[in-house]
Amino acid sequence: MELALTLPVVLLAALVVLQVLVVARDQVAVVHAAREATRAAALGGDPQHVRAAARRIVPGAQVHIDRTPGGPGSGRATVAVVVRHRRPVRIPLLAGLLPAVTLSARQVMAVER
Amino acid sequence: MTTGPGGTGRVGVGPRAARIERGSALLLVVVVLAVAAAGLAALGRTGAAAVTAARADAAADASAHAAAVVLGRGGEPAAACAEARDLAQANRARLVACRVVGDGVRVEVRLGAARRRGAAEVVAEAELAGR
Repeated sequence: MELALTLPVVLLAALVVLQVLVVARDQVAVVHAAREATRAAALGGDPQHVRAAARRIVPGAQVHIDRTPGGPGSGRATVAVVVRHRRPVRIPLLAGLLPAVTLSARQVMAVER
Repeated sequence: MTTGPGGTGRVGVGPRAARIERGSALLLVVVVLAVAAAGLAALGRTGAAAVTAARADAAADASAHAAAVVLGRGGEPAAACAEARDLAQANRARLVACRVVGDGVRVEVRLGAARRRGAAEVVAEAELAGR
């Protein structure tokens, strides 16, 4: 009797724990994707190449590239890349209970070329 | 566990036994929920620490790279470290150490509880092409 009452709670708790792990793993991947994309942009890569660098790590990610040109006296030229990834909950039972999570990361680097 | 009314020797029968069983089930659910909540909190902290470490790694990398870009353009070590500091800040981190040795630069940044090191060196275009 007790087991029958407790099992759904245990199952739900385990699934929530699993979902937290999945989100943390995906967020680290998004940070890594932003890093790789920014590196590609800093080396002078075209937007298509920069997006490809991010999507190799996070397929389907949205990539926004923002270049700040450094003029004479205004200092360095930098590039900022923002990677966004909308991750729907795919874990059974939780999919209908929890909303999709949007993960994002921003990285800034000095332009090399 | 209890005996039924009238002391028949049967175990777990009668209204009192049912009340006790209901009480222990509730206790079990509460314990499971408490353990799950504690586990979730610990997991949340671990996940957040992993994300912060990854961001700090990226900030250290960008910071060292920025300093190397300045050195590569003939800048002074002080200017290189100032650039490293600015890029660390742009990546929401704080530069805690910066050392220029020859054509290389080593930095250390702090982001939240994470401290990460980054290094970069200036490599000539011709040398890069030969690699």
